[in-house]
Amino acid sequence: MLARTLLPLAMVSAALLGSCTGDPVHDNLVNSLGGEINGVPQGQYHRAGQPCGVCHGEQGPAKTIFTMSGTIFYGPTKAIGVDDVTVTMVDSLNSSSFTAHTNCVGNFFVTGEEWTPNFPVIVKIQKGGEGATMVSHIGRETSCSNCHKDPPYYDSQGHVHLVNQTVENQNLYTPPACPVNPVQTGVGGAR
Amino acid sequence: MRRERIASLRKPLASMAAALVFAMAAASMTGSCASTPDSNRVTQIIAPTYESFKGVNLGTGQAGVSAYIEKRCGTLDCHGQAGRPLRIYGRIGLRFPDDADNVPGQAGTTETELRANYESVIGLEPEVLSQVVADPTNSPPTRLLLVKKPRLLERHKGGQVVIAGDDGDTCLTSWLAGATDYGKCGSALQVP
Repeated sequence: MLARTLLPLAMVSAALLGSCTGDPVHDNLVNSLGGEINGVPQGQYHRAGQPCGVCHGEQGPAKTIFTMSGTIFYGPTKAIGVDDVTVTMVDSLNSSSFTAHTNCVGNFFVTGEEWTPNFPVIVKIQKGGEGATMVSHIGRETSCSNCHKDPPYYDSQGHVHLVNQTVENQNLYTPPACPVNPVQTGVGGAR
Repeated sequence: MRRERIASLRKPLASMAAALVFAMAAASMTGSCASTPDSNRVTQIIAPTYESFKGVNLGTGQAGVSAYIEKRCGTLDCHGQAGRPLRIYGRIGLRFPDDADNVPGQAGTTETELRANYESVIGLEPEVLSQVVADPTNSPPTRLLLVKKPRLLERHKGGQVVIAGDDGDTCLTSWLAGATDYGKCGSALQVP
């Protein structure tokens, strides 16, 4: 009798827990990113080019919360992640800054323990003699690709890239050895 | 005898109830009817000029109000979003669709975008804006969300953007007062 009473309750509870937050907008965002890709396990190399902060935000479902995160690709049309790019972020207090470095798929992330910026934030990326400073500031977004979606359109400049089209056309970049394919996942961060 | 009296009372009561229901229904129907929409009807707004918002014939170091708002408020993660109130277009943010095929960060803000920004700003609280512009003594600019939000006198998702009297704040309030301080707008643009 008790089991018959508790079973529906348990099922409802499980369904609610399964939907993460109870916030349908957030749940839809998480679901829109799709599942993990075969051969790319959860961890620092996964979901290159996707908006990290969707899952790695206050509402989860990821356990680690990022205060800044993103992926740096090589060129405007060559969406291959670039390793060891220096990402320098300075917040509005101008005395608080943080430097992150990308891994071999181009991902970088900053946790709250490392740095919690006071928005707005200005960003500069650099590797060797190449680099760029973001033209506008970041108002409050914690993921690059929520604004830097592909393809470029009236509401997006496209993915973040290290070099311009001229340099990209010279085909100088050879991706380093990496546990996973550093080419953009193309889900979530893209249209 | 008593039953007859009750029966005789019931008839008028039933009639009165029916009349009441009818009257209420009629009143509600009357109340829900509006006059035919007038496509020529307009809401007059007393507002600072478009030219002062845009900024024309500017000198070195000067900027229009739109340029300041585009930079400080119009990034893609704030008011440069299609779904956000006070939608702002501009070179570094959202581009006007079907305008010049521009993407963020490239060609300069177009006339269409400047006009759209102006309409966003004056259309935010048109009645209050009219009062502020027409009678600033009794209607100070702090009545406007346009001033209250960036000063964080009212909840603002983007936090505090200006401090009363700083260059950005003066850019906005001087425009509202009809004497745009283009130098302050320009100085505010220099802040990263």
